[in-house]
Amino acid sequence: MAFPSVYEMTNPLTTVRKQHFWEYFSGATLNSRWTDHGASGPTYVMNDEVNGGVRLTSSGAGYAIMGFNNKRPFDVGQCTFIGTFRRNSDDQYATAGLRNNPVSSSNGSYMLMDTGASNIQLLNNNGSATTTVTTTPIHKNWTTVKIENDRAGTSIKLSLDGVLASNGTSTTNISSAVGQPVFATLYSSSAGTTTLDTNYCEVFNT
Amino acid sequence: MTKSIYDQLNASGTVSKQRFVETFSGDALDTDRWSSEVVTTGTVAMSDSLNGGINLATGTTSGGRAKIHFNNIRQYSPTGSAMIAVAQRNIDANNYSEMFLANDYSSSVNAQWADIYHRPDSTNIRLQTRDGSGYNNTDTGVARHINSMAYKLELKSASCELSLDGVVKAISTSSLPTAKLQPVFRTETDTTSSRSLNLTYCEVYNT
Repeated sequence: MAFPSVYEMTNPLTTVRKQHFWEYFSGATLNSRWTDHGASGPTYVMNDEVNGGVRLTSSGAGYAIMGFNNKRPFDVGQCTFIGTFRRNSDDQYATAGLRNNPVSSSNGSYMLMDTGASNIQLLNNNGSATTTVTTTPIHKNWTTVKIENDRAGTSIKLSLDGVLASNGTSTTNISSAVGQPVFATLYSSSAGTTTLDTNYCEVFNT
Repeated sequence: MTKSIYDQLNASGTVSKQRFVETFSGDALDTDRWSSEVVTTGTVAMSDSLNGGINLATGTTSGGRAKIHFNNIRQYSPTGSAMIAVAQRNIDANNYSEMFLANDYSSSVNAQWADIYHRPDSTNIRLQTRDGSGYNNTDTGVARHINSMAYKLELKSASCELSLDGVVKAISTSSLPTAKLQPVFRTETDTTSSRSLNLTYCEVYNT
């Protein structure tokens, strides 16, 4: 036994724990902590599949976005986001990370896989945008996304499957806004159905 | 590297006892787990603020209250359990904010509980234990405040300890509860303006 409590896994009791949550996306329905911010009939359905988690589905010209309904306990520029991610569609724009507004790129920090581009990107914004293009090609495999937002250290670092992405660090336009975790999927070039899966999400202020 | 949370929390060969963790994050309170109630016009709502968690707020009528609890589903032991909570009161004066492991959420009559006690009748934070017939107040020596703090209540076979930010500040050895317990959080105002309590974390486990 390593720890008497879950609290002490990440904090000694002498430190007041900052907001920290995790979500396993397991069960019959999506937990009510998540809210639909999509359009044109998106769905959020638990996957009846090994390691399936939840599937976000957008249709037509619409989009599927889930967030916290603008309950924003996290510091976009000073927190860590960890999420698993699998995109499944040939024409797709899919993201995972922190946003102040689920349907806006402003004051966000998130990973993007866009079939209109070759490589995975890190997008961050404090009113002005920075796009950081990694050397990792987009793909349809499960991947673990970790975004370490460190405004105090003037960096945002994107790690993929536990390894800091090559060209995956941003040092400009780091937000000071509050935020929430957001997963989003929609088409990239032509309207049509897209799906995105996740089976884990964790965010904590640092 | 240990692969499981189970193994991080339990010695090899032991059966895990009841435990839960609540991070108070998201759009809505998990009402499968928590019941809530307000007296007069208070609110129980997730907070849109940094490290805001959930906000229990009274209305503006003296005697107004807001509370969350397990609706008397009581799975925690009076002689071997612990509760860790991170909480912050918004205003000190006239703010009766308390955090319990309690047998009955609804009544103080013949109550049994261990209570982290912030009330205007005590300059300092207190630990109060009740056994159904009497009570014992133990002063922590720490003045009431409105900062975020990590609280830990630990009920043992013959004592109850209250730690504040990781340091034991009060130990009660009398009027200890003997009945099964649940977490209860409440805030109350005795003036005509709102008082509130924010919670960002709660963990309870049997030891």
